[in-house]
Amino acid sequence: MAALLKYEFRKTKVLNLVILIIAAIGEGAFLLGSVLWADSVLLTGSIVLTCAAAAGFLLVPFQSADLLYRELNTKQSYMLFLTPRSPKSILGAKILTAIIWLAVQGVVFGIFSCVDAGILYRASGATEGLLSALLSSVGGAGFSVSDLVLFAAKIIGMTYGFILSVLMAYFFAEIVQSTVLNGRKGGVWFSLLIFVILFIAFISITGRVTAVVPEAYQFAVAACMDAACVVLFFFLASSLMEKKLSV
Amino acid sequence: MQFDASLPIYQQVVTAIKKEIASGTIHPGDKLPSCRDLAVSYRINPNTAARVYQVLEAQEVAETRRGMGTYVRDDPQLKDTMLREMADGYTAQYVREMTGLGFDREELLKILAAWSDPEEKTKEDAGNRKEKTDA
Amino acid sequence: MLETKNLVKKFGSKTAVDDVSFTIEPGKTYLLLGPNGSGKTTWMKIAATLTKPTSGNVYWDGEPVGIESRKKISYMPTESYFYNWMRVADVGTYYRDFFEDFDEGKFREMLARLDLAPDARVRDLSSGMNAKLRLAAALSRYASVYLLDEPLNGIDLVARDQVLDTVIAAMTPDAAIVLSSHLVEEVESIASTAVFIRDGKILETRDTEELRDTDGQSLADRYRLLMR
Repeated sequence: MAALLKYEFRKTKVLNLVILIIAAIGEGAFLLGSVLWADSVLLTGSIVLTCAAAAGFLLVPFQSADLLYRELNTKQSYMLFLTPRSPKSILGAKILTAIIWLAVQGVVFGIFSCVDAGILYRASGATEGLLSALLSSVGGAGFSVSDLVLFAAKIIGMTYGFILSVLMAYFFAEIVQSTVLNGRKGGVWFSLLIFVILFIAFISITGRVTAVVPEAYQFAVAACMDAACVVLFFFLASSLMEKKLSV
Repeated sequence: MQFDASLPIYQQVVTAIKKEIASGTIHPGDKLPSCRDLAVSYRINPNTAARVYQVLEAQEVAETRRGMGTYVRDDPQLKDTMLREMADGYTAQYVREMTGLGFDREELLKILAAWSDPEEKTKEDAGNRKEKTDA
Repeated sequence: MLETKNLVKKFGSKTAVDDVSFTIEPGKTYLLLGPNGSGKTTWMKIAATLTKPTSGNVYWDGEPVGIESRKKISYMPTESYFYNWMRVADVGTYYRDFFEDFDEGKFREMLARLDLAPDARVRDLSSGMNAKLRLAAALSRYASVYLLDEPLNGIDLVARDQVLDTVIAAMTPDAAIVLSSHLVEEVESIASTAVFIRDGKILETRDTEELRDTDGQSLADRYRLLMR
């Protein structure tokens, strides 16, 4: 597994490091702007940061899916399939790499946003009263900073969960495509088609389930459904790879 | 070594080694290469190499000494034996081919007595011509 | 022992391997001879677990080929398959990371003999150099079975000698080597068993020296006879 992870990181590191470097530049600009009281620099910095965060979130699963597609449909597949590693390990390494990159991004952007928020709070000369009024408008009376952080964590968690289940479903779709088409044309469209079918099914099931669940439990239920989705497609995908896939 | 691939390769290697003994390239008592080295140098399968040594041993040309390898039998007569064997082989081939064409024994003897290598003759002629032009 | 039992592989309507059964025994060097598309590569890929059979299977040590057999079988494909971003030395590192029986020293030695620079980029290699790299990677493992698909393809005359020498050096009583090659005359002398294949079926399996001894035919002669 360690060897698999080593090479998955090698294959994905360029894009991810670029995003982190751009984020660092954005943060640098923000800090510079705040020190020099240069609004335009600060603003540019925060825009760069926001874009990098959004791009990063999307690029990790895109890159992972694209990488698997290329590996399944070219002779580079031999690199993975000649090694004495099970499909579960191979797929596991891929999803784990995606999780780790997303986590790294989460931590980095999380730290940056906390630092930046703190700077803005101090610089704006806002009072505690203004802050609690702002918080109340978001989450109702008594909504504290820690509540906000928890809420943000939930949203991020749900997004992560969603991204991972989407990615795993897409892995499965790509493996189905590769197994069925075995190099014939139309691979991209075929895997996209399978994915869309799975996606629609997943969304409707999740939607119907969460609709009947009380609000307090909705997050937990969504998280469970995402986890179930990831696990289900992981086993389906690795089983298909082992029994039916020819490269 | 270029093999005639329609004839057993082990035989051809056996003959090649016997030739080396006959010509004095290898001496009685010399150590022969290991099976694997023989395989690499002749570009043959190691199993074939092993068979070569088996045959040489059976024909009392070589002997395997436990843990030390295969050696040419330390027999001072061996070179002559090999020369005779090679000579017999080539002569038999020559006689067979020539009688196959219709020559008889007497004609063969006459041909051999008068024989000179045409290649040698050409070189000689070339040398003579050069002498003439130089003069 | 690598046993093939009633192996069938179909690609759509085409049958690449048509109910093939045979055994690969250690200590022997097999030469698969047959025209293009006769099933040689398909069989190797199935034995290497890259392709799944339609029916029947290949068994290593009694078990269908899978993760365990990959540890013992070293496959050299005809296609170039290394990651483009790798350098020659990285291929060695990759093999070392995944295969316990990989000898990095042997790999480096082979690179030197075959004139491959360790820091050359895989994507810059000519097809001949790529072939040499694939060979070096496959033969630097201490495997029980070596499957070499057209190891002399794209390799210049002088390097072919080096390749053959390297293959001979890999022949031990515990290992089996299976080669497929179009250059029958060049590899004839190193094979112990010839397997003639056409249209996915094995026409004949012969001990090479026995063929010469009994029938007075070279592998090339026999091939022409069987494939006409």
